[in-house]
Amino acid sequence: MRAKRRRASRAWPEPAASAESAFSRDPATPLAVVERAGNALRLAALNTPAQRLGLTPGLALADARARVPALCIAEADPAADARLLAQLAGQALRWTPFVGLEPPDGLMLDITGSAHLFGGEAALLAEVMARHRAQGFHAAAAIADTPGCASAVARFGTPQVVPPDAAEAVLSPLPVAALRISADTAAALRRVGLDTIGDLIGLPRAPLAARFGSGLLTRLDQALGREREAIAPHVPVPAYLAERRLAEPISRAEDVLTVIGLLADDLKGQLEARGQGARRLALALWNVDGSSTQIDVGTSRPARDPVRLARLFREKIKGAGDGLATGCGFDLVRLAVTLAAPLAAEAPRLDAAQAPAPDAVAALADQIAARFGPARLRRPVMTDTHIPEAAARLLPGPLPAQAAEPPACALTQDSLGAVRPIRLLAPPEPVETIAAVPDGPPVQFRWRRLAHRVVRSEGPERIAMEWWRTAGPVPPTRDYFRIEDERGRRFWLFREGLYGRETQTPRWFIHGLFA
Amino acid sequence: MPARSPDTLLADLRRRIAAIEADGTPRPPLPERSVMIPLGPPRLDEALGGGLIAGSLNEAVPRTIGDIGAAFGFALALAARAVAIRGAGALFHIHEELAAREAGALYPAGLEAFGLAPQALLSLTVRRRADLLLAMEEALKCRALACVIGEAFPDRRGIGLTASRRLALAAKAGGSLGLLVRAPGSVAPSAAVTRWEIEAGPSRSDAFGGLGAPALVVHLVRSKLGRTGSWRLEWSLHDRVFAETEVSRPLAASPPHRPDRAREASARQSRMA
Repeated sequence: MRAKRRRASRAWPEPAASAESAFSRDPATPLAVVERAGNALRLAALNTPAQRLGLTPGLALADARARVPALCIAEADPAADARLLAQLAGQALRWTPFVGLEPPDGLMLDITGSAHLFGGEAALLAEVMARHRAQGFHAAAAIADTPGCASAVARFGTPQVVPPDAAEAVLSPLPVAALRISADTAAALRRVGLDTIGDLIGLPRAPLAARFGSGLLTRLDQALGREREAIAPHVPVPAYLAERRLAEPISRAEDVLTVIGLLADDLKGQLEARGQGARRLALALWNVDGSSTQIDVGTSRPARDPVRLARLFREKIKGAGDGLATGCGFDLVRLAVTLAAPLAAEAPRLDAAQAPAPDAVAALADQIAARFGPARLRRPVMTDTHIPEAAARLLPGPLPAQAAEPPACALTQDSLGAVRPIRLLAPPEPVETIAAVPDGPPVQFRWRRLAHRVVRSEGPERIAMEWWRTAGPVPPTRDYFRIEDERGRRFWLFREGLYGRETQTPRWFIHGLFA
Repeated sequence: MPARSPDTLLADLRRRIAAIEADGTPRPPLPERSVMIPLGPPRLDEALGGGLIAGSLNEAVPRTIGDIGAAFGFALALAARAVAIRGAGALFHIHEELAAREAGALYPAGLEAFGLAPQALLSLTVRRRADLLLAMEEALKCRALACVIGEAFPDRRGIGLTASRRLALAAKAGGSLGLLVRAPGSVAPSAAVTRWEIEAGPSRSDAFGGLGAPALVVHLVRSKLGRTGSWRLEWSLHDRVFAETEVSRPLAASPPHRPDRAREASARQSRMA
């Protein structure tokens, strides 16, 4: 077993991926992707027939047209290329959870410890190439000790597994441009006769650094393994994950759920060992054809009970309506904990069958949130304000840590606290009123075309708008009245604007209903 | 295994079916009266055979569209009773998006007036009726909830007997009080144990001339627990129970030449009603 970290790099020497799909009519047509460089349109990438005709990237479009009048043109779309690369990075997660991007056209995989799952490094390399060729990419790949070496060999050498400590021998014949240096530096090196990496290796370092900058030496050292280089993972590498590679692809939702149950079982052990529970989980399913699907679920409290975790995915898959897009079936299923939180170990209760689990409400909340969306399950949030619609709102959010207790002392007189309606209309609806005096309660009002005669009223409860929070003009003050009509129905009405001070014609609104 | 006679086989099957069913015919046992939720007034509890049953489905229907506030208040009051009897437990509330536009949305600050802690509330908004029934069934099965309130209005499509039966079974399994608030005039068959029609009632003025405690006229129109009937109730916040109020109606017109202040007072009260 090799102690060093091994890297695999993949690159597309002809990064015409997005354009190729748009021009798939005839593979023999010369095709060029052009980009705007300054004021000129220049060729950015070419397909094989175009290269055979002697065109090279960097050529002005006008020159290329003059040489090859039949040249097909597609405009470069860097954003689409970046999206495609990110998508491929997602697919590459099947080989290792550690995948970095090398824009615009490369991926860097840290395969330390995962190559044996695929029958060794050579077999892994062959599989990587085969899968991408099957999807229509011109892929090149290499495995080496360092990212720099893997990248150089993949882009400028032949696909191969570079044996440990053979980096120097393999890199020596490659051109200096393979060192991931700027085009200007590479041109300057060529001008002085330093064509290959081998030419650089033996040279004294100080003059090299003085003439071409220290970046060149850094790149050289990184490629040769004299300096460490970190790969930035494209997606965070989860701390806990479990996966199953399936000999026979599965496509039925029930089978997927069975596998999820097994994976959740695996995760439980991992989480328990470190006293953690899952707050967010990501399920990744890889299709036989290489595409992947991800399903995320969250829990309101840290959890590691496999049954409960598996149920969340069941709800999510069921709630998706048309179910999973299974395609040809999944051959790799991975369940990862993307967010963990401490969860103390619990002794199983002897009377577990009788007593409801203490977190039964949390489990229900998770299940409902997974099925209908976390934004639809809401809890009351009380705010310290007098404005009724802001004082008590229903907002999505996590469960409080403790189960709610009934109030220690219920309000016994309505004079102790302001009485609030049980249903609130949002927004308040205007009503027509007849009032005896302009600033008194109404005698009669009409709401939704129904007239109500006021028998009894209580108020006003004056609520001024918060002038210290609003930047513009302050909304008018509201005078709230509790009103009972002749049939005993109780309403919450307010008059907007203080008569004589804020307005001459106050408007009335209904804001809520009482029991 | 010895062959059994068809009679014993049939009897056995009947017994098993009876155990599965949770509604309908008098034969199957009702949800066990293990946890009873008395509502307060002795006459009402007697008609219910002791009170509502935790682990049963009940329906509250406003008499008219204007009585939605009263019907919802009745549901909250029953929820408060269920929480009080259990000692603790959460309240799960499910409503459709459209319902909020018709009659407003549940306002958490109003829960305190029924002795319910707002922290104990979970509210779910669903898009479709099917989702409402599904969520309500799941919630009813959860044994940690005291009460599940589903707002099935606007009730143009009804909920169907099968769905209602599923809810009844779920309530029986979970042991929480299931309440379905339905739209006025819905007469669809259902597996609910009780069905209440709710009307707003005039409140008795408090000492300062303001509005009194919430007052309702409840009509128990369908009940598998005992008698039906109508009651005038008042919610007592202090004790978190209902109390029956007697509104005396004058039996004959009072003689014009002899003013009777007591009768006048009661007549005034009944006019308000």
